[in-house]
Amino acid sequence: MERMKWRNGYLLLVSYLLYANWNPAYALILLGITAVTYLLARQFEGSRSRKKIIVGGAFLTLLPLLIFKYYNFINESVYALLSVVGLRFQLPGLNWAIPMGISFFTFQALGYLFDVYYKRISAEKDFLIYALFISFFPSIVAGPINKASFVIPQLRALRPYFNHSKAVEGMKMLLWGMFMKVVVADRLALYVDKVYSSYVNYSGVACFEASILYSIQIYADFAGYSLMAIGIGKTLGFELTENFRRPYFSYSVTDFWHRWHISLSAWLKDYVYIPMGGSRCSRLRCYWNILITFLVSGVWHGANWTYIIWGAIHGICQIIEKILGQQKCKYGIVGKMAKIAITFLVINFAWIFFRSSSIGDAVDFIDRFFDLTLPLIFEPVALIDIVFILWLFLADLLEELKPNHHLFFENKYAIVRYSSYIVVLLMIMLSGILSESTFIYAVF
Amino acid sequence: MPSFRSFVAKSLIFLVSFAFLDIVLGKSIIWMSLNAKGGDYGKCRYVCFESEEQCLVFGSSRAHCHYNPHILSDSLKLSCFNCGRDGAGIIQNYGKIRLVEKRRKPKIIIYDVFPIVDILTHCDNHRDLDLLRLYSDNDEIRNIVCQVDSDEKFKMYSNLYRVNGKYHNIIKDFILRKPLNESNGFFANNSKFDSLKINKIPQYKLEIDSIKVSYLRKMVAERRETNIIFVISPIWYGMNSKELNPLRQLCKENNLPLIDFSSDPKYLHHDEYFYDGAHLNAKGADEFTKDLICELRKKDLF
Repeated sequence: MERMKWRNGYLLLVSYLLYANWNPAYALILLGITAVTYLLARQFEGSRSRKKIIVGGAFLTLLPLLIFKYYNFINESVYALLSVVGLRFQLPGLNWAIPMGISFFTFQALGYLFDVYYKRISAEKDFLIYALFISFFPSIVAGPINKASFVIPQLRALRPYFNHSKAVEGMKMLLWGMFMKVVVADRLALYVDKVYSSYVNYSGVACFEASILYSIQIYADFAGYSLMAIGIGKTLGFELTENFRRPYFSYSVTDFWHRWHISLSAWLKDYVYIPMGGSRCSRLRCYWNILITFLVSGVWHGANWTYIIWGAIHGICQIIEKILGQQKCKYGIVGKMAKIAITFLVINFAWIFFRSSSIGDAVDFIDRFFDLTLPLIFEPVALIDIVFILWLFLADLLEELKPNHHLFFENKYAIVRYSSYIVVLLMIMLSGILSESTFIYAVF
Repeated sequence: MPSFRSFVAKSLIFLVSFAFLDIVLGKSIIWMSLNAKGGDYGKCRYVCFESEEQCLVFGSSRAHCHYNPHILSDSLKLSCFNCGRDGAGIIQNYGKIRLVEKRRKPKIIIYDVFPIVDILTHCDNHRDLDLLRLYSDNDEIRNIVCQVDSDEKFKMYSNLYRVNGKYHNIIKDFILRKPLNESNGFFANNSKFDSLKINKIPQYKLEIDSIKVSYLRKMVAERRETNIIFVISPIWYGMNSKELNPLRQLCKENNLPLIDFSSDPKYLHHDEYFYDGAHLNAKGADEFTKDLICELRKKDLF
């Protein structure tokens, strides 16, 4: 156990050093949130004012997030609202960078606090283990948002120094995740950014094309990063929460949220939707709960009305599906394919708001799709990028048909496996965007 | 149960095999780029290692389709080649000029300046390194690449990295040998004016890129017998004159000519000469080249 302590200590040190490498001062915020939630969780034991502790604790935990991420947005929105009635009052803006991953580790810490409050788990006594849970470097920047009940037992357990099968699995995930990120996502970003930044210079067809490519880009970017994080965790011997499950094969928006950013939707379900009553209430109340949950999701994603609209679209779509009984798929193969296509178009439509810098831009962007005066000109996408998109699609399709079995990476013949590793690594080196790029979700 | 040692051993074998592949495949593709006879890489090879023309035009896509070398040749009585290349900024062009000057000294270099690739921070300098990495077996080119980004020193140990993003075009240019749709390097664009492209005029941050400016200065300082003429060719939506201040300063200090057509009323907002907001069409290019020659004669440069 002493050795385990040293190993966990070493991992904690590496996690904090990596985080501090970006900005040493913000590592203190991470430490602060860790310390606050650790101490407050321990206060729950035997306390009579649990409710006061959870309310205060939630506020303290969310405070850095509110300040760094939402202060300017709230300030500007209140100013805009007051201006309508002739009052011009605005607090000075903040020009601080948002601590990387703050939305993720804040929610992870808050989730732990709620779990202890609801007595789902007992408070962790070992600060080292708890701090490592919050700051674990593979997932701190962009998730997944792990549950304490899933990760902390792994940190406590006597784990072997090395697990061969996990290490091999982990390296495969890292390789494929990197392919998704630097080959598919970053290459598509070159095209998407060009069109979105000056969409008025492009035809409606080109704008629609860019919207489709953005849907693929954000999936490859976020899922790729998540896979890399889970892969690194696995190589170190840890299982992290699965975060994506081929979301564009969803047959409804409801199903989409069982496949996209699974850790966030689980968090929202457990700590927002269910405490509000979930579906164990009147129908109208249930719809309200869904809408609020997805508005919270929108707000979590960013300090802009576009994210809130994006969340609202998802919430409203799910309400409509519930009313029409369309959350599941009761149709044959053709019906299922039609539902998948329609769901993709709806999700794609919502992503336009997510990507645009303002609601006006999003509306203008969509408006161009239907402007028949514009020429029907596609912007050319490189053939090689179409090949990569198809490759990703086929890989996901095969996995959808036969889960947890990659045709090439898990082939029974070693020559096929190793050849596929080499081909993927070659594509990363030859076609990947290897200059500095960021993960889309790192800004959250 | 396979052990840690076997995992490490297999990983090392894999990495060594991949390193071998990196050398073989990477060097092969680099060799192809240095021996391509067609396409963009064939043109770059010709410019850097074979060109003998007395007058060379360098610059970005604007140089590529603005300067008609046949008109220049006829009027200046000098052989002329248009070395303009899409996206090429001062860092890339400086590297190419150094490779040319290793073999010989051209009589004139006409440098078409476009602030976003030659002066301002708007365009990432890594874009210019794309071509230069292929030639970085040359020490001087390698130094340029490493000066822009010191990490490149390590990244370029990988030959595959050096051909990243361009391997398919290099292979295509080497195998197909298809010449570009050009004449002496000049691309005459016969497209009609695309009014969509001027719906939104690009706005750039007026932030001077010290690295880009330093290469402009180097190019001037090392010119020796070569005459360098800086030209700002016409642009449909005009140019913010503040963008050109570092260049004006440089020309003033070195008594170099600067011929500025960016606010020439003959071209400003005249659709007939352009195919988009920043590029002349074939008619515009011929008109401009003739106007340039008049200016060169007026300034007694010929």
